[in-house]
Amino acid sequence: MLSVQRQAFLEEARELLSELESSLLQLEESPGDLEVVGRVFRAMHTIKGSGAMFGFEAVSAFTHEIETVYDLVRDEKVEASRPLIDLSLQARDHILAMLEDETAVEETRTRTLVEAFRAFLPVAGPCESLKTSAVPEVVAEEQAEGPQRSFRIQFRPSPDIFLSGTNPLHLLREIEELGECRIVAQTENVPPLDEIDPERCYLYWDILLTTTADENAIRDVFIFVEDESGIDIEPLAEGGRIDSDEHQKLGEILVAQGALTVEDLKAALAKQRRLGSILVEEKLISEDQLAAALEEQRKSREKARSRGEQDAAATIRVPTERLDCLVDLVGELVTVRSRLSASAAARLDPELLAIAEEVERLTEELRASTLNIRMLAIGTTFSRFKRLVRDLSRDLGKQIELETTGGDTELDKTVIEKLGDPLVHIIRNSIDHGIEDPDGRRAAGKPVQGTVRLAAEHSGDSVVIRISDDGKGLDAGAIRRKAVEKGIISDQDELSETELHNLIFAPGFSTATTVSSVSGRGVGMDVVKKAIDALRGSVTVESTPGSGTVIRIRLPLTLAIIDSLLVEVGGEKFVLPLSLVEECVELTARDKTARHGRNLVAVRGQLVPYVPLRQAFALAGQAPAIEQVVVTRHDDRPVGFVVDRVIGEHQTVIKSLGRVYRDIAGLSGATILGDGKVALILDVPQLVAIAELEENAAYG
Amino acid sequence: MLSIDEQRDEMGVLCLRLAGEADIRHAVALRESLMTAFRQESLVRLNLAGVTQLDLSCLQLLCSAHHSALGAQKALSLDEKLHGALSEVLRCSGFGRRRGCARSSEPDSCLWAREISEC
Repeated sequence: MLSVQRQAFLEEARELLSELESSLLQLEESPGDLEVVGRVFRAMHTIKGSGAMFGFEAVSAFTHEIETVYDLVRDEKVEASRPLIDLSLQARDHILAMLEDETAVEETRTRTLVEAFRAFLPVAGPCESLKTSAVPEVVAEEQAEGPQRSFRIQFRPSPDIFLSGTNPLHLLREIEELGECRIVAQTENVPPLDEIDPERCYLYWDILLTTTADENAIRDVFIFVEDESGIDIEPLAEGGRIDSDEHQKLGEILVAQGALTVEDLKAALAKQRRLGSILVEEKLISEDQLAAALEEQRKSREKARSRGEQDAAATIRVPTERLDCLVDLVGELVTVRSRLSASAAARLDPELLAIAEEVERLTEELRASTLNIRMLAIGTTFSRFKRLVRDLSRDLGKQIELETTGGDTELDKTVIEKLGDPLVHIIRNSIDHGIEDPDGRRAAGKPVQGTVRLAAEHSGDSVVIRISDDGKGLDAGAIRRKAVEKGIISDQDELSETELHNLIFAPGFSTATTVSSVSGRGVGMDVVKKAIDALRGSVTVESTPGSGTVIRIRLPLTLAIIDSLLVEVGGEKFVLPLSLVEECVELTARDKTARHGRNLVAVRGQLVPYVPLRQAFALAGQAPAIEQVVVTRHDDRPVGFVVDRVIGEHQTVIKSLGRVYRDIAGLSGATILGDGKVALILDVPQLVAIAELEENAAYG
Repeated sequence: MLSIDEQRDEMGVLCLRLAGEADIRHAVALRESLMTAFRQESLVRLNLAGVTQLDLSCLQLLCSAHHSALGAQKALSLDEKLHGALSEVLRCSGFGRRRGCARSSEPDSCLWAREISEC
């Protein structure tokens, strides 16, 4: 089992590699940007240093080779050329593979990459460059960047630090790399030989560091152990340096020599007479003046401390399982709250009702806050497509640029995770089938470079993602021929252009005449639609021949708990996602007769098709004289669902149906009601699809 | 692997000769050897010339042994000056010092004092 620290390193390293990929792609666009080069270098440097600390020696050694080259790129001795960036991207993938499973990585591949990187080093200096670590040079340069400051650091590691596989020596070395420092191991807690547990750490360290790095950079060194360790970083007075004569104090010298602990120094200093007392005694200031000055000092200290605390606590890293657990608990709470409300309403006890209302309000706030924690910016997913577009367009000999907007749009973590593959497939299709090759684009009077645009934006309680390209667009005629050939539609079917375009989402449909390595491997857009449906979203396509295609995905903001409409049919309760519901209208026997048995209802002059749920689920019992039609919007068309009774709005905690019931069409999950009974959640797109198939079978 | 050999010099003083990797994997065994040695002897010499790797768990253990010996009016001493790699570990881990550490009753009694010229 991985130690907590190793796990934290792996997570951090994956993020760093993702940032590294973005930086490399950015560097490709602006090779002279030294700030980007610096980012690449720092990512490599951190992976190297932390890798060694957590036992990923091979990763560390490999990354060192790349870092060496990028150190020269920083010095403008080596050019950030396209071949170097190509190689760096391959190296980035290689490091990722090494982190996932070091044993599965071929050593020959590592050697080949290392040799390729060494080839970028200037001929005269490779040995020298490889022999000496790049780190001291970096430090020297960083030191020249800003004014030096001194810090007093106390590092008290967890007693279990040795057993967790972390070597504190690596941390101390990293601190050393930050500047000039004196490290003193404090041994006062080390027990005698007959009591010591040799696998536990009893040591702590006092460090005096003079560096250009700021407090955050120092804290970063301890990032993987800070949860279990005591880390106290105290800046000495602004501009104060321990090595400058006027600031070097006796106490600090003694601490640096290891002759005195910081605690003893503090205790001794506490015995000194305060300046304020001396000044009052000498009658140079009054007691009141002293009190006022002390108060001002206290406030300014508090302010500084709170600013520091805010910085330190700006973000925390939490395992996703803990978040999932929290959401589950909130889900349970929402269910219990419903029970409490139902019970309070039944008892007609005003006091109980007031408490139930208060619990309801708090639960709602808790639910909103909890779900908010799970929201992630979609930009993290977008960045991986940049590399995809780059690599694929190169493979296909096309010139394509990816433009992204709305990367900060937030979506539930689960939705983002499940969205990756469908987006990859859509983008692959755009690149492979949509955008023409350079000759084709020239002939069509378009710029040689094609563009794929990825945009995300909020729209009510949904997020809309648009994937558009300026390619040749969909060929409605070809789609029609293919659909007829595959038996998806008949030759006589009259379909609008939009309906024809949307046939690309039909199962088994593919217009590619040849199977390429990019798309068309039997996985069609139907898989994309299935994935989006599973997220309770919708996908549509619009296309203009010669101008391009737009695919629009609409997704709910969250998957865990949704607002819904609770309805009843034949004594059974069902739930419809409220985001899909537009309105409710009545349906009488007379309305049914007027339409001669066709499932249509007139809503303000427009005929709306409906699905009678009693028949759809073969529920027993007599329908009431006046039924209700819940009108929903699906694929931009209104569709009604006939129910006996509309109960009202309900907060639905979604529970999956389990393995046995997973494939039941028309249902997407279940929820537990306040009275403990189960209500099934209706899958609107599936129910509509089933009704359309039955309608087609009945009326042709 | 860490090997711990017991030898006696011409004066009959026990010398623990360590060779190999003195790290956490062998810290328990090293403690046992030190305890056994001090149960019988009042003066123990330590030779680290053959140690290729020295980690903090063993450094801490040697510190503990040294202080325990002092407390029991016994002595643990280093046989010879540490070689370069160990000296570097000592310096970087903050054990190298000019004088004995704060807990020591005798200022110059540190096992590591003067082992490195600058700390």
